[in-house]
Amino acid sequence: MSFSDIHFTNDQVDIEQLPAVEHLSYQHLHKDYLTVEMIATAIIMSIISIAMLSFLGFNDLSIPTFVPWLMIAVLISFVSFVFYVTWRGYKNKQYALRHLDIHYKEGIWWRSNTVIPYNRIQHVEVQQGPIERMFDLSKIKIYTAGGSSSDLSIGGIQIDEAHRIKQYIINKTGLDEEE
Amino acid sequence: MKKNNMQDFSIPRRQSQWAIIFIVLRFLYKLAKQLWPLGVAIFLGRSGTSSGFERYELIASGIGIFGMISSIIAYFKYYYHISDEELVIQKGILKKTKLNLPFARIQSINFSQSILHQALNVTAVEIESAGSDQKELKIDALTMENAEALRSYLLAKKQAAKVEYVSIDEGETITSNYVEEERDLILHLSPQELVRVGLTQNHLKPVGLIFGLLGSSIGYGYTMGMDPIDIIRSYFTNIEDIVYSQQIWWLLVLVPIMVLYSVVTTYLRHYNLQFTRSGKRFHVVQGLLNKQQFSALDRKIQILSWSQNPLQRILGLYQIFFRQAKSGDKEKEVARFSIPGCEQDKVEYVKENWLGEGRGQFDKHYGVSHHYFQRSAIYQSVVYGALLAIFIYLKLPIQMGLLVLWWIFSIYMSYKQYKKKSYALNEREIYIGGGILGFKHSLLPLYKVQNVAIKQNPYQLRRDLSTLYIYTSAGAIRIPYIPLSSAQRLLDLILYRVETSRKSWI
Repeated sequence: MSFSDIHFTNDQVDIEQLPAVEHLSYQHLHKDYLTVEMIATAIIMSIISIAMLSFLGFNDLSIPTFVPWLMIAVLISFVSFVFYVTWRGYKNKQYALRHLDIHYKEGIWWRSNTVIPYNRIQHVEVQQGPIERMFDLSKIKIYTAGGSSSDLSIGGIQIDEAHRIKQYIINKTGLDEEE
Repeated sequence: MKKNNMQDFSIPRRQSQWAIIFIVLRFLYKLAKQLWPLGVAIFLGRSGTSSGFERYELIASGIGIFGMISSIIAYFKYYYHISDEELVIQKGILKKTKLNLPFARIQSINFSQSILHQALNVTAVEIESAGSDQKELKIDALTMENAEALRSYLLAKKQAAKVEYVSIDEGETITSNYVEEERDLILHLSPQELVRVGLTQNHLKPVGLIFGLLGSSIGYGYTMGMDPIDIIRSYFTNIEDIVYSQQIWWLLVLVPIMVLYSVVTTYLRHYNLQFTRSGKRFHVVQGLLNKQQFSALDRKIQILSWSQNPLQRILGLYQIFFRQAKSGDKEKEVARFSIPGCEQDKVEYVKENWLGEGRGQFDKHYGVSHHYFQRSAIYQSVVYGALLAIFIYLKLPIQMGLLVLWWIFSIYMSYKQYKKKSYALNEREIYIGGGILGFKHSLLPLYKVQNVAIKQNPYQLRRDLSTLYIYTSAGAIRIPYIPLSSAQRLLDLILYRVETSRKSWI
């Protein structure tokens, strides 16, 4: 059944015949994006670690000797947990483009799967951060009238591909191209 | 002014002199709104020491005089006139503004009179315009005679212009002489009915505030120099004191005060409420001190809700809520308003007129998974259980009893909430029902949906359950704890409706 041939006046719908979301094959984000996210995490973690270690180093208070060791142990496990979350999070971030909508899923323990139909998109943007630029990656941001909590931001897409996707969506929506 | 009937509006003119009063009042109102916390702080601070008294008075009178003078200048700098094809308003002291409103864009011209307006025999004129920017012009005060002349003049001009504009989104041509259209009266609240409506309002609204104050005053003064256990103990033993002492009677005094409060505010707010329909719009006019007007164009309404609390249920009254999207170019302001005191047939009338004859009916209503209740009960029990352990440790038997009662009560409430949660679907619309003590029903056409999301928390993930979020331009609606496969089917259907729709959602 060709999906676009159905018109709004066609009232009888057999739900079982509609294209099903679960049969969608999702695409992973570019593998370099994991590196990007790891670098970003590493930067934040080193700032936190330096702050904590310098607090320990310059502290004159007579604290028991086991406290610094305990803090370092906590710090190490925290940092490794954050890296683990970044890695798992990367693996679970996937997107899929269909003829009429875009799907994006993410989350490790709290999962979400958002779908935006092209004909409800208000505005599409391609963004590139400094670390992403080193790897030729970029972020696609998709805005709807449904409020900021439901807008999509998909990172880790190669810059040329991002522009292609953006163009594809714009052609579908008939939106004017905006930067 | 020279001639009554044929006034010359082509020359820029000022408002009635009384407008100065309204400009000053608006200035003071804005000032008060901004500065009242400061005022309270100064007042409280002053009660201790009397120093600094003159300084504040000086600043206040300075601001007052400045406001007075600028208001008067603002009045003299405000002109309106009618050119060949538009209404023009010029205003501003330092920053000059010129507002133009072409006749064809005028949607309606409303007069609104506060008590003060009535006493001075003047009226404020609000000119509502069509179009994406939804701007509204307001003239503070015109003499009744001038206002009438202006209105008939503008309407005549508008008629003469006979401009038709095409609404881009619907592709349908709207002739713009719709101002004079007849209005179908849906509901008119008489003073007696208004009191009835007031009595069925939610009287518990101010309770949170009262308990907050009570709580902070209980804790106050005990926290100095005590160890944490003692602070907690003192906090809870104070409840005991209050229960035993006469302070509990204050709560009994509060009940009539709260009821009176909601009756009075309802009376003021909804005074002479008129809920009407004309063309493709719903209108509400209401208010004693402040006359309010709302209107909602059918296609701008995104979600229709109607609710009933236990008191309203006894009287068979509903409160209807309109949630609409205002389509500013950039701002996505959500406009919502509600109408209290509607009977079942009014709800049906609104539903049918909004969605079309026979629409908004559903064959089968589905409930949500019992895990919705189960999870909430588990979470509450963890929190209450921990509290109970503390009470047992501190040996506070009365508090333990109260806590257990409250525990049972809140679990019962969760059960009610689970039982009331339901959703239903037909080819074009989705219905979501819920409530804890009362009921709330929401309805929206599927093509208005902006995007959809299926979310799962760890608890749901283990049980193949999920929560479906339906986002519209007037906020989100969710269906919690339904099987993942149901959520996916719903998602498929909603997407199908959205993606095959050529109708504009706004």
